[in-house]
Amino acid sequence: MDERALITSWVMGELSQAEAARAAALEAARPDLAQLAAGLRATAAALGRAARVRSGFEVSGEALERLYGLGPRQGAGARVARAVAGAAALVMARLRADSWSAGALTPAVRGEDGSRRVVYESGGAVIDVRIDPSLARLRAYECVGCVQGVGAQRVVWTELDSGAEHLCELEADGFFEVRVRPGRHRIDVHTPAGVISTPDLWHPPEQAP
Amino acid sequence: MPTQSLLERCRAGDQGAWRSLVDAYAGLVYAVARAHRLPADVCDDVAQNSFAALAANIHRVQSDLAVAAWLRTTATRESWRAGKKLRRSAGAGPEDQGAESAAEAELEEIEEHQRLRRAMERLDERCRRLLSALYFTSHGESYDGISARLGLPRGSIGPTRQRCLQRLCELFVGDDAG
Repeated sequence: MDERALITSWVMGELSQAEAARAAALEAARPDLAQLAAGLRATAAALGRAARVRSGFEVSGEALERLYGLGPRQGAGARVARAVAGAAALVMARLRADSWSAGALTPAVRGEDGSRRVVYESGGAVIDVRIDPSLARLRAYECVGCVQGVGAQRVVWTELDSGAEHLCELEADGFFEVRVRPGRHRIDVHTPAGVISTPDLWHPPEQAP
Repeated sequence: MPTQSLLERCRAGDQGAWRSLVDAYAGLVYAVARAHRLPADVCDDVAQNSFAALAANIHRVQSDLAVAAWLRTTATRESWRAGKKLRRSAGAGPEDQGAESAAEAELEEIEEHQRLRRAMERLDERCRRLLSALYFTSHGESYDGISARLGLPRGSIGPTRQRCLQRLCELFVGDDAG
């Protein structure tokens, strides 16, 4: 067994008493082997902790999907970047309910045929959106939303695929309306404290990757 | 694929590259939030805010190591902020020193684990699979089980493990030095 292999076996606790004594003597006499032994001990200790620490790294598929929607984009994402650069706080809202993926046990959010209801929340703010096929235009959708629990100043609905931004007029009770095309969407609610932004929303849902 | 080109593609708006970046680092961000003992929904918020901030600042981040460090710092800051807010809404006082030290110790383990993952990724496939089977399962796997699953003769597992551990050590310690 060469010296490096001997040191490795020693650190792994695989040597007889006589071999271990030889390895200990080598470690004491040779700085290069002492360094190897120290590195191996640190590596083995990290590996020993790996199974326990690794569980903290687990991420659900649903959580990953939400993060996939936050990616930077040329043009369309620049506005949010500007909001951040301008020191306005940017907070991502969390998807609380989506009638498209809701099961039979959650009829309150399921909606009627052809319509979809999506609810986001962030702190005390709730962004509740209903999307229906447009009766006036083919391949368009009428969206009615309501922002509650926060002093919304304006709502910007962005069609991310084209970069088109709709500044939605806000009614006193927090309602807004907008007509959009199929694709990927993001809603930004501007408040005195900053911007609440939703993760990307694909509508119709079958367009999602 | 080197992360440098992944970052460049992310900057150009490539959604596939962004997904790869999320796959590589979401675990780190969640681990940081969990180390602060935050509830699951708040960990989701920390992750979302951290990655949204990364997307907005991606032009400032230069390399693989920088992405990990940047996200770890941002997620730690977001976690402190969220924990403070939670304690305030629950009418509790500031976090006690014991909990803070425990979180710090856990963050050090997370950082070490992230380095270990990077080193593992740079191993050849045979070594990666063997060491994963030996160490990355909570129950540990028997030599017989590993032999059958990886198609390695049982007698070669010990020497292969030794060689792989030496190689992993070079990468792990080298990363620390770099």
